[in-house]
Amino acid sequence: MKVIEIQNLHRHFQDGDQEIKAVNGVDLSFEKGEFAAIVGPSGSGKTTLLNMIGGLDQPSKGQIMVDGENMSELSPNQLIDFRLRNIGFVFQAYNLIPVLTAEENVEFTMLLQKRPAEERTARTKELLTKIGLGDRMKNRPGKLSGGQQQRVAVARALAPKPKFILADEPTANLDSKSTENLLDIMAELNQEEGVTFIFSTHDQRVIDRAKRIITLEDGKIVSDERVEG
Amino acid sequence: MQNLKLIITMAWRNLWRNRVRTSIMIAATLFAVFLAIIMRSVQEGVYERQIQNMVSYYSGFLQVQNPAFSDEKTIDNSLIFDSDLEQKITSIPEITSYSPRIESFALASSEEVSKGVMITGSDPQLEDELTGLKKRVLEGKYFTADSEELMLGKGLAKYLKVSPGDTVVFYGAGYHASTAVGKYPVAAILEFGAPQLNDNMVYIPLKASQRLFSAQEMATTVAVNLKSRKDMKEVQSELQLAIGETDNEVKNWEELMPELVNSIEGDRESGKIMLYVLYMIIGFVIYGTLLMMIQERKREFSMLVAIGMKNKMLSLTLMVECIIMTAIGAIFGSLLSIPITSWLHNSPVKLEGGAGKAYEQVGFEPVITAVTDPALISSQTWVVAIMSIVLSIYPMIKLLKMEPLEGLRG
Repeated sequence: MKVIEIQNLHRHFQDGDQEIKAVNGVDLSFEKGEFAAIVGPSGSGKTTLLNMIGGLDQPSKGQIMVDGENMSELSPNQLIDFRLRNIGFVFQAYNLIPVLTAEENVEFTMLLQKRPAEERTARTKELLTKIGLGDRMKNRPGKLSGGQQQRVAVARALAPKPKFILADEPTANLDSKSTENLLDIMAELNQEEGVTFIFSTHDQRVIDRAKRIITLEDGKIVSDERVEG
Repeated sequence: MQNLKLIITMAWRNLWRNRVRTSIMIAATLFAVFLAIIMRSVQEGVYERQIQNMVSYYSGFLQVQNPAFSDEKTIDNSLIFDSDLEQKITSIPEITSYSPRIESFALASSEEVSKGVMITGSDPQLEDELTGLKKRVLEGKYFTADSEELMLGKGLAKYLKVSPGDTVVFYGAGYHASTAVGKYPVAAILEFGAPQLNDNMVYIPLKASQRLFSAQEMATTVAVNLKSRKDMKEVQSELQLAIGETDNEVKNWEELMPELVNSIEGDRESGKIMLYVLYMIIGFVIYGTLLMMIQERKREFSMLVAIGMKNKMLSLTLMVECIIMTAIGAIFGSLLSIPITSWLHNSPVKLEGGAGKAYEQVGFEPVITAVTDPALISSQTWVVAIMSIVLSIYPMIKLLKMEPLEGLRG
């Protein structure tokens, strides 16, 4: 079952007289439950592609369909709702809300979705326990390590049960141990929740764990490999 | 409801996140409200005292006059003060006191110097009931109805170099061009709040003044005081109706002393300019802090929009933060001002030296006092609170237009 379908996607920027083709005719689709990594050198267009899939940036041409819904046709406000319902984000710099506790950060998007309190509490507890932070629920991000913060960010992204999660260089600021730990958790949640994970990464440890590796160069897909096992 | 709780929680906790920034905002609002209240309260306090000095202690809130008197203030334009007029005045319950007077200018001479003065002939008892004149005696004894004595302001006494027991000679014009000449011993020296009264006023008994000016049974004005200043306009109409539309006219103190009203209005306007400058300075501080707040938290705001928070809700969070900070500053600013204004109200501070002289030169009593008016406190609090909310509009608009990638890039 296709969750995301990308057709002839372009994103061009003007730099003086020069037109930069950050994404240049990408056709791609993702199935439910995939654990995919988009790789490529710096400037290859990974982040731009991820931003457009996440509805944070608008394509110059082409379209992105999520569960049959064309994202390009949505107004900015509709896009916010769309992201809230369908997409989870994990950022390189964790980007948790500093004034909220780990528990409140995880609960945040569910609150925006107006989910009932009991459901929110149960889901938050379940996720924080799964990521091994059941005992740090009341801690604010400042009291957590980088690895712990990124785990909370993963739990936050997963909490509202999105169709897919976009993770832009999620391990870039983590040490080896934290990276392994985070990847274990994400792989486990990918299996348990059946949610699609799409990473953009340089990190070989992430690439090694991915089930699908899409390589971008100069805004174009140069390879798309599925890894068995 | 849940979202509102979330907004308030986030806004409240954000205040404690950057304590310096929050302190700057709160302090700016607190000082703005505090200074604005003190400035306005002192201003109104000084005006109030000025009005009290001139109105309660001299002119009365209303005066009955011959209609020609306001155009030409001479004894020729006097009215007949008889029992009929007296009965009409006393029939109005809101009137607490009245005093018929003969007011005229004359040349006053002592042994060494002369000066143009204002002679007020009045009944000692009625005058005391009206203005509390007896309490103004600084030296000597209060005059009596049947005596031929005078009392004069301390500034004038100093100028004429006289003290109780000395004699002052008057020379002026009486009724129908008669000559008014008289010689009176000084019974008392008076001290008034208003400098112009201290420097010009002479009191002699009404009967003596009627003899001096050859104006038996006459008065140039009848000054009237009221239970409440608020009733002034109503009582003015009522009294005018009682004495008839054509014979004499009733004027209120604002009509009698337009120069006092104008000087207060002029001073109030210049005070407002100072207040606007204060608002502007504080406004810049608040505005700058808000812009700094947005700049510092751009990444966070972008992230919030990215994960599904509506820009509207984001703006609202900023507004709530602003309202909380402003409310804290405004409440504490107004609370802090209350003891200061109450103290100034209860114990007016007399200005000495140059500052005092400067006050006297512009016709104000050199005293710093304040009104304690809840309406004034709340109005200044609201002005500053609304100002900071208005100043948060532009930052809010910036947040309404914020794109998620704006702060996430780089």
